[in-house]
Amino acid sequence: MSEMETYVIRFSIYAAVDGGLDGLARAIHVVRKAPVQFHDMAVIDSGETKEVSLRISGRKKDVEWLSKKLEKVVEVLEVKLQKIPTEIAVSSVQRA
Amino acid sequence: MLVSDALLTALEKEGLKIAFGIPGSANLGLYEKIPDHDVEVILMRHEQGAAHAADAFGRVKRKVPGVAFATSGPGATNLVTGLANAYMDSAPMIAITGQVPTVVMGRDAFQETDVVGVTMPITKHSMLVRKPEHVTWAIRAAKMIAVTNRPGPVLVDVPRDFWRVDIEFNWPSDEELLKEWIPGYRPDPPKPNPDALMKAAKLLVEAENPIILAGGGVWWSFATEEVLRLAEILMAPIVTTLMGKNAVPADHPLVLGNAGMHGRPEANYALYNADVVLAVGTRFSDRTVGNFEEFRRGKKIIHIDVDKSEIGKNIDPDVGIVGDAKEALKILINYIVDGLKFKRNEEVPLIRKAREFGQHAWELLLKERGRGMKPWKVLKIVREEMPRDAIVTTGVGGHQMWAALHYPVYTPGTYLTSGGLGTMGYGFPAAIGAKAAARDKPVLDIDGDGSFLMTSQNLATVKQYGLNVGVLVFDNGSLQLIRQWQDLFFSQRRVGENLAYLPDFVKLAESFGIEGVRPESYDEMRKAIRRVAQGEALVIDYIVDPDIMVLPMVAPGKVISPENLILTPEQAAGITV
Repeated sequence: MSEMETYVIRFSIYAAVDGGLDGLARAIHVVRKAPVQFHDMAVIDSGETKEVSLRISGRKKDVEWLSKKLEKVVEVLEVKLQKIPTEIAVSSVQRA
Repeated sequence: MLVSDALLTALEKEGLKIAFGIPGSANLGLYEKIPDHDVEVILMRHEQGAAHAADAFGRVKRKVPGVAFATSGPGATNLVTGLANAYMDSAPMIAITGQVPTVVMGRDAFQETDVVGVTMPITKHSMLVRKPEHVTWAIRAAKMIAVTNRPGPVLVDVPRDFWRVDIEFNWPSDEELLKEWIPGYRPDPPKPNPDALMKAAKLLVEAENPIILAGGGVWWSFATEEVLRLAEILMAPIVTTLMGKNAVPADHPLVLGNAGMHGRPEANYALYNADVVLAVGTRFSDRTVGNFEEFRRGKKIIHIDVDKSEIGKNIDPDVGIVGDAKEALKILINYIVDGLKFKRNEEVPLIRKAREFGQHAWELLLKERGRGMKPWKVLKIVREEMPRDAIVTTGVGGHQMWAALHYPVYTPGTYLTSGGLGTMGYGFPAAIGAKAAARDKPVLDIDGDGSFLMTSQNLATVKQYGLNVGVLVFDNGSLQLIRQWQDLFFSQRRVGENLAYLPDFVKLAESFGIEGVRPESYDEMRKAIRRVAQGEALVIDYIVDPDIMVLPMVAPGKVISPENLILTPEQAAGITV
């Protein structure tokens, strides 16, 4: 468990054609299959795109793999991965 | 122009002129207009068959995906297995489904299924056409996504009330499509990293016993020539995955055959004992290497793949190279030949050792056992009688593994099998799809009795359209691999493997107006295969002794190593899985 770390994956979904729900659902299908622990998710409407922020914990290798899988989703424009410092991750998980 | 005409025109413009399918209320508006277009629709007898036929069509054509039509609800869900199959094997195909009218969508209308939602995890992409004028954009996007980068299946769902809507025909350019419709999609693979390629070149040059593991990606990227050239420079063996069997000619002197759970002993020996493995276009399936960690031990791994999520997924490579295999191999060859001035003159020592190991293993494996005609001898006849470029498909089961072991593929692109999903019933409709893609070539489905029974209703399609394919049914009255696993690893408790009350396959064929034969000698078998080679539709019922196991094999979960090869049933004693 010591190698588990918490990350935020941010990605944009192109929503101009269909409103973005299909892209979001497709992305969630990818997350479901990844060997990571899901904490929470926020989606913000930004006009032509939906900005998704996903907080997960997992091994670095698995989280990076998930990021690469998300990049393959046709509606996904850009994926950014950010590690959360342990103290922030712990306190926010406890709060949740 | 009506939406139905627009969709069919889009198919014409994209060169998608053959579709396999079944009509239903939600796509009748599309079918209504087919006679006005240069699109041929082939009526399959189950939508699963339509999907497999489209998958196979795309495997043969590579840059022209096969197309499957289905109606909403059960028609669409019947495509699911075929879509998953194409997805697992990276085969390009497009499924076009009718959907219930928009006014009742989401209200559990008759024959309503959210097929876009259902197929999200098993397609490269799926989309509902939400506005009538989007239909041409959707078809253009589907074609681009299906065949570029890593290929795969795409589903387009069209509501029934759209078919007769009048729209202005719009034909977006590639640039418009990528900018306005699918801006997140990258049709071109990334350029391979030169530093990583140079590192790979040095590893290969310094290796004592390098090996090339060729996967299905070699076929998709047109990289056969580069793989052979590199092997010849390194004088290194080539082994393949099950999908890679379709990518390199088996009679090349450096090709040792397919590795894996039921791989050839010499191939498994070489792969396990190599010091540097160059893996090209493969996802390192558990069926290829067995236990990942054990396989990895003591080796340097170079992994080239167009899909960056495959690098490190199952095996952490020492060098990971993301990019098109053909392009990456060309640069790699250049670095080795011109940069490092390297050329080996003699085969690496591993080849001789692997062949010696293989020779010893085959002496045990090919001892006469069981009654009747032996599978390896029958497949030898098949190879001798079928032209080099004949297309062979398989179902899934014991016969598939026999074919993997004993049917050498001489011409890349002529061996279609369900590798990733392992779909029983794939072989026969795949043969029909392959025949539609290459009408000048003889096509033979090497199938099992259980597997063939799952999709044999498409015999009617063969007769109706003159898509003459042969079927060689390995008829042993059982689900052979299940029976084998139960005998070897599950206390010999045979449960649910007995295919009692099988039809008489000769009479079954005849009931569809196709001739069937049941050869009783190798000579009769040769004559029957020859008829298929000459283009006849023929079902050959080959009675096989169910007690002949498919060997060698490695127990599931064990690393694919020479020590773990089961060459005789007795060697499996005590193995738990």
